[in-house]
Amino acid sequence: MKITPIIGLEVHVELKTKSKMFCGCDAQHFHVDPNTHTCPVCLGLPGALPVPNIKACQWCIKLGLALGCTPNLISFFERKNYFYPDLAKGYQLTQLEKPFVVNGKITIDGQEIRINRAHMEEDTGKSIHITESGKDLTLIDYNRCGVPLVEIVSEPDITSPQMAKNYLLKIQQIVRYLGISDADIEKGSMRCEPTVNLKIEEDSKEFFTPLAEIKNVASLTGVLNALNFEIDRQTKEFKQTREIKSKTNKTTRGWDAVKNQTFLQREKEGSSDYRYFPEPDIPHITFTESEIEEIRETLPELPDSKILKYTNEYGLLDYPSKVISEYRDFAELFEHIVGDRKEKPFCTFVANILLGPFKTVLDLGGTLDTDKIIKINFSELFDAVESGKVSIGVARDTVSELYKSNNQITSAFEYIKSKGLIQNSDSNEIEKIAQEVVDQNPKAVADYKKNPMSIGFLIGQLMKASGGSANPSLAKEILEKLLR
Amino acid sequence: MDFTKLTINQLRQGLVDKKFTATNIVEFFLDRIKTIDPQIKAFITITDKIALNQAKIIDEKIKNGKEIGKLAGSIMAVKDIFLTKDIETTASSQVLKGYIPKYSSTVYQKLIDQDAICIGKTNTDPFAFGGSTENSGYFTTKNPYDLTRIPGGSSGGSAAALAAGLCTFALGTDTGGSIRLPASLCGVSGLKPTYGLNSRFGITAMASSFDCPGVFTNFVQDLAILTNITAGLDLHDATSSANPIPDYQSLLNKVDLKGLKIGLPKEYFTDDINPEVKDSVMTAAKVFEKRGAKLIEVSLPSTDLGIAVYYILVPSEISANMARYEGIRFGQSITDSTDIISYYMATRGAFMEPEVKRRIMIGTYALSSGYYDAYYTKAAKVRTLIKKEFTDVLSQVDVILAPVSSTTAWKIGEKASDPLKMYLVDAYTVCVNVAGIPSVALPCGFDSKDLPIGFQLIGNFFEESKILSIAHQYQQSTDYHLQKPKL
Amino acid sequence: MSATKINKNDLDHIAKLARIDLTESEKETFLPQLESVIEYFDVLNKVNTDGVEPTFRVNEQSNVLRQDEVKESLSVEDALSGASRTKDNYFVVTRTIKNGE
Repeated sequence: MKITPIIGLEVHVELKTKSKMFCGCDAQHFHVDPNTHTCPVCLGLPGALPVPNIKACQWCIKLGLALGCTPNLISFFERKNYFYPDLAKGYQLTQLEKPFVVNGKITIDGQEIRINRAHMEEDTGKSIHITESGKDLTLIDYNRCGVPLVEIVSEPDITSPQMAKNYLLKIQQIVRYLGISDADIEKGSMRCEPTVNLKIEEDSKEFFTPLAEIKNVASLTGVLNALNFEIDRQTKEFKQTREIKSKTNKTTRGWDAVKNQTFLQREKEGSSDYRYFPEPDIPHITFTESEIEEIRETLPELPDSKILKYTNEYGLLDYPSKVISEYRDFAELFEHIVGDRKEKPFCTFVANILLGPFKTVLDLGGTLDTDKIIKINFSELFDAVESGKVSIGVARDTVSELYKSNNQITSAFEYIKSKGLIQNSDSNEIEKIAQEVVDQNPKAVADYKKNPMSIGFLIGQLMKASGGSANPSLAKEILEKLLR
Repeated sequence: MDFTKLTINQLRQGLVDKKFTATNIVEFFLDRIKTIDPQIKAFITITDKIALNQAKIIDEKIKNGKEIGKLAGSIMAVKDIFLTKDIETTASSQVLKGYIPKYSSTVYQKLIDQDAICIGKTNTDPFAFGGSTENSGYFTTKNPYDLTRIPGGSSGGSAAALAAGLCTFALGTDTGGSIRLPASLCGVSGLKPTYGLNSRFGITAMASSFDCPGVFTNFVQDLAILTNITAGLDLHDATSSANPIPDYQSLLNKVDLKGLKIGLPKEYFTDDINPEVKDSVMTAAKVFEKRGAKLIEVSLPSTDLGIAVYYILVPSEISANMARYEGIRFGQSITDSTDIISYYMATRGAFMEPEVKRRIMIGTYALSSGYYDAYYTKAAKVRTLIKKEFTDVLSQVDVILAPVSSTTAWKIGEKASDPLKMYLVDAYTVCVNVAGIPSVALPCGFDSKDLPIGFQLIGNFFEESKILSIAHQYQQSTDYHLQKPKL
Repeated sequence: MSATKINKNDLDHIAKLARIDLTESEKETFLPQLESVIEYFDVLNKVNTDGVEPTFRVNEQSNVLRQDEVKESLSVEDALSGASRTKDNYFVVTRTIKNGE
């Protein structure tokens, strides 16, 4: 039995526009007092009418272009009708027949994943469930109701949970590169719903298991675990029931991260008939070819292009290329520092310095004061290291120190000099000191003769005798020569 | 002084000339309302304190030589589906009993900004669903000409209030005839403008692609003045027109009746119409003919499809527009429910009037899976045909003249038990809404029971100035608009 | 559901979709009324609409869009003012999900 997972992903990205999708309320809703960013429109009060946010529409197109999609020059909104308290109007404004963009693709792990569409819709409010005086109640905050969401729907081209995770990371990265969303899965500004079934090949016959849509996966780990669980569950179920996919047996399952399993959700009765129809309150939206080009011109260089550039033109290896291009600001910082000096040694040097504490700051969610970093003369510092005047360790520490300090020093080299950390790479001088060390430490010399790995002690003595300024690798070389 | 006979300009001029005060005017109308309204029940809410307060403010402005608005001295009755800030707005439904909105309809606000004084909220069919006010969750309004008959609807309260001399002008909405029908059955003038001319913001939405806020007045000139104030782009309504607004008042005499081509659509003059109505409307047509206009028979073959198109598309949009009425953020609700679905069903079931439920269900059905193409899409395609027929005919004639209703006011209860019968009263008005074009209804006579008869002048998109000019000249040759019921 | 007639099950289904409780007597009244209205719609079946584009919006505007600017919201008091049940500035409704879901 050969089992191939077939996974499609539906991703919702919350755009960080200033105002909501259909009204001028402040779109911020995280840690905001309940129901303070609401108005008749997003509260669905009588007589209120929606007016679309132009920036949100443009950002949807921008995202579509970054994903290789084709824009629909004419598109419109539709009403998706269902009843739920966090949906103020009793219908969600979304797009069905004519979304803003269609037919894109991105490459994940060497595989092309097709993107069916990306469209605009509005978010719902938030619910909090409480029990008060024995009564079960739900509290609703509509601050989030009406915030713009882009929904990206992939074709079921993903073939493993790991690939699904990588797809999500790529979408997250692209969205952040474009600066249109924080795409923070924990905070909910990026959400995903996988749909999965299996292709089972047995005795040269092919079977497809029923589709399962998984809701409530609130993290990347959750996606991995939920998909792994489902693949397992569907395999077992097929072995038992031999049930195959049909038009009517798609299920919706919730992911329970505590119990580590999916469970069948009670079908929200009647929720499947959304009675879509074109939104009469909003005229259709058109973009001209030249407006699309204007938006295309605002696209930054995307991560995959940067990786190619770093490996081909800057001489970096794959791994550092990937890591540097992870965040756009960081990549641009790197490129700014490199400037025109696109030589492999210099680029590698800059990459080495930046990857480390600086990258870690970003990984932990902090920000870098890039102005401070670009003030430091990396070129000069690199030359000093190449000529042996400064060790790479001192170079790295110095950049960190200068970044943390408040003074305006721009020449790292001058700073190092002022601290007396210039490395002594004068072979003659080191030979002199080496001779002294050998003379003063006969026992260590004897140990070394027995075990060459113990040279560390002698190197240490030499470093001490030189006041720490000897070039350590030169010191080792000279000692070894001396003791031959 | 009988303020019911004065035009908007005369009322304002009277204030400027210090012949009377705004307070005089308000007190006059409040007195009339006190005596007459209990008989006709046009009002759901009478805003006497607010009106007197507003009058006081206007009188102060005059005393201090400050500028007063174009509508100072005019008393306005407002259909209760227009949201009015801090004034109860019920939409004549139990769903919104006690609802006090914190914002106002754009059209209402524009009129208030010109110093119109709101004297009360008028009765309507609930959420404007109906043609007689009999569906109202509160009471039925009576026709001032015969208290055993309906005033028409849905803006029946507004038309009746004006006809009974309880205000200077009144606000209404026309989605399928709800201004023109009550105007004609009550003997007053009413304008349904082009869709998008007046903002829909702040009016309970019935059918988003049909609803047209408009006004009732005694004089066409007043229709022009009011439309100049209410019309125009509203940033809160994406369907409101960005076209520049002509000065309707200054264009009232512009159209030359000599040689004017008036189309009489044969489908509107069949034997289905009461002969007295037909005669009266033809007499109106002849008034124009005597002044040099040419009466030309035209054809609008899709006329009899209008009701089906209307009653598929409108309830479909209604079913979605009414989904927000579930008692969570506003409106009455049932508080003891075991689960959320029961909550919704019980709340909406308890407070929605039967016609409201019916229309939501018709719309839900027409949009539901398996029926969408057969009903909704089909109706939308026929809509295109109807619209095209009008624009084609209106490229050959200057204006279309037609009856508004096949009968005069019918007895209370006569059609109420048969929804389809009630829907069919819209037969001569709905196609205009399906197309989105403007139409003005004017009184043109009375039948043998002294019940008013009206007719309509239909123009092409944004031709309000043309139809108002033709209407104005009609009123200069006739005096039906000056006649009032004996109350 | 049959195309030209609706039965009591259809009525129940629609009422549920529309979230409206109907009493038995309402169901008895509504069913024939809705039936006659829906049958009336058949008049459209005779119309040839091949090649005709549907009209969903009557005015031919496009691109009525708003700049991304923050405008004033309702005060929280005004936002909640219409609700019959509120708590700590939240709207309150019957519990939407059961415990354990």
